[in-house]
Amino acid sequence: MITGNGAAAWGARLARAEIIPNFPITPQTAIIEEIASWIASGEMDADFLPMESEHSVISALAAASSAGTRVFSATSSQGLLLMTEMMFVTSGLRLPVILVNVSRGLSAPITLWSDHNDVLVQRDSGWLQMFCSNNQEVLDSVVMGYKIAENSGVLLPMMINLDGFVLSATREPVEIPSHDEIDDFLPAYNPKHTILDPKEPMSMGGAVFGEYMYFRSQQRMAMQNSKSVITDVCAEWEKMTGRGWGRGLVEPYCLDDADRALLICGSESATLKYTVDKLRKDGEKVGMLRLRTMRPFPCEEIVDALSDVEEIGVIDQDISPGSGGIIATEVKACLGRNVTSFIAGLGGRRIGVEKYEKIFGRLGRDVEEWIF
Amino acid sequence: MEDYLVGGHVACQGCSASLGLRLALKVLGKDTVVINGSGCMTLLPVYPTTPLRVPWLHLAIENSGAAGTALYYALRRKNIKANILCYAGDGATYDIGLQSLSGAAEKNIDMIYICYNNQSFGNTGHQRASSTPRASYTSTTPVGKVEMAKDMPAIMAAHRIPYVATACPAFPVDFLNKVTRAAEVKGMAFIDLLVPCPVGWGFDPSEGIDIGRLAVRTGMWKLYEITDGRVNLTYIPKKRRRVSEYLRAQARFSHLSDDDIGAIQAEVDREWDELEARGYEYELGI
Amino acid sequence: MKIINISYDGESGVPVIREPASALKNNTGTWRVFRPTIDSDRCVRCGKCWVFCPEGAIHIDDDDEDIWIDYDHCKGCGICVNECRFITAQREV
Repeated sequence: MITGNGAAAWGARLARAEIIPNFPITPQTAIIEEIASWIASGEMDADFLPMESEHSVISALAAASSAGTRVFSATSSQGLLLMTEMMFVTSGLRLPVILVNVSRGLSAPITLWSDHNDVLVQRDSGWLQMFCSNNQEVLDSVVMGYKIAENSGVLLPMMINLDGFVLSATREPVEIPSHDEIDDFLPAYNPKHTILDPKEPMSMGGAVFGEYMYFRSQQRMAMQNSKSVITDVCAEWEKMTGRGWGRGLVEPYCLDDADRALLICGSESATLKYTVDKLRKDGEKVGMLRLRTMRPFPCEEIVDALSDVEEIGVIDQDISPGSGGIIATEVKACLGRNVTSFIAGLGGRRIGVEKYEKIFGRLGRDVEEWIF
Repeated sequence: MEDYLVGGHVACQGCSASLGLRLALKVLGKDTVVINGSGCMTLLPVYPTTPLRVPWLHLAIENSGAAGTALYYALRRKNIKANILCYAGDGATYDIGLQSLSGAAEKNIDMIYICYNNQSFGNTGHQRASSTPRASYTSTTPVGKVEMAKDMPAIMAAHRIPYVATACPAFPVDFLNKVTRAAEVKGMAFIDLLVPCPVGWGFDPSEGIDIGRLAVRTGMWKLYEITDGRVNLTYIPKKRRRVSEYLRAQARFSHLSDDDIGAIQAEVDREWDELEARGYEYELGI
Repeated sequence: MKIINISYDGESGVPVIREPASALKNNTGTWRVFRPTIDSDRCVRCGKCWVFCPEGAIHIDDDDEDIWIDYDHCKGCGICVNECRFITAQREV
């Protein structure tokens, strides 16, 4: 029985991350504390680098990854945003860094509880983005993340989101694979595309001027490639552990004969699943689609899953003031039809089964409704 | 002795910063990895060519210290034995990069940080930084900077790193002795390298070395080391040149009146009198 | 949605410059207004010009026989002319 933070730390330990720059922020601090104690006791062989800010953490991650080592760190909200400048540098230099984000609503005003604005702000940074719904998925996603990011068709960094407090501090049963199993699944990181070795001197991070657009096109294609890599790696993981997480991109539930469906991501999907089961017992034809990957945005998979569903709603635990719910905006553009946008759970505000039941009765309208 | 920084790059004619890097790399040799903070030198490699014969990493302006810290551990894991040289400008060091530099110094990472100091944010057109000396014109202090420059070597010495020094490429033997010392020392070494900038300071490129010599011989740029908290001067001008020779040779001080220059001369004289009274060697008391 | 007109080039699409000293291909000698010339007979091979050249464009043989300027990379800054009386500058034609 371990917390989400513990599961993230185990993911890094199993993947044999070598360099772990870190900085504390609620609600992620337990991840780095756990790793620190493992390194001190000798259970984990890694270099623990306490940095003086999150910007320095991401800089250290990028520098260590440029030198060809496997890296890991974790952060939340304000820290993630402080990293923003270097997020783009890291993905532009094609460094397969793994960063766990424990989501927390952004200041101001201050909250410590979870919402998704922090991770969604980074959606243009060129990082892959995954949302986990329970602690088992956190551990699995971190380990799989390395295999996906380090794939030569991808070579992009990835952030893995788990919801603050709800997952990060809650104990759930988690199966921890053995080191041997993971060593088979995930070989050591030995890149050729970026190294800092006097025997093979490279100049990295300089100006490209006119060729900028070409390199950006490579990032775009790498992100496209990642879709099939994610699916393949999840299939391999399923063979090994029995857990495939819906082939990696989306996880449909009761959509086969559903006439109404809600799209959601993160740990709230568990409560929504319970609501779907409850309404199904009453004969309601409802279903849900859990969005697991926000980047690359799984447009085709969403279209396929919801093709026969008449009324659709999206739960956004985020808001882009001036535009609307971020996920609803992207889903709408992808589906090309009416989608009711529900803004709920900002700053970790409780949603609950009753509210979900009411929401299922109010789909199919072209509105943005705030659920308090 | 081979050059690890070759020609064909776009640094200005007579750029002392590129000279500083060329000289430092001569001494440090091919087993060196350079980390660069954004500034003039960032444009040395321009895709698809690079003038460097050693590995070079540029991430951003403010994180050379953090990058060096991570690189130390990464190279150790990769069993690569190499000097780590951070080469960043004064804007990137005194100002925006101070946080990550302080973090690296506190950890006493085994690396050499050379701040190439043209006393401004040079690459963006000579704007004022906290390294800009009092009275200097910059495009953001058109009537002359009011504040004195930060005493960066003292700030670095306060972190208790084993070696801090000031240098100037116009005194190459002194500079390269200091780079050698920096490489030998176990722990962090910081060198503040004065690099006269023809474009920013306003003088003919051919005078680059002359201006550096004048800076030192007038006593306005002191060449010293701080080894484990003990300051010692490595060059004591026998008879100091008048500061007006140095100041009047640069357009950035052309707005100064004779009285202004007199005040600066008095200040420099006072500083050197104090140094002489202490025997040119003293404990910082940290 | 299909993406057209671009394709993935693998590791060569990573923005890294892999050829060291490739900048020597760039002729920055075209920057010159004045061209320095060393009077090789009177030069004592003190090495001062070689030390102070920011481009590393002045070369001295290992056995001190030959000293020459690489005019493809000399930008004509004039530091060497200023430092040594045996180096003179002529206007570049």
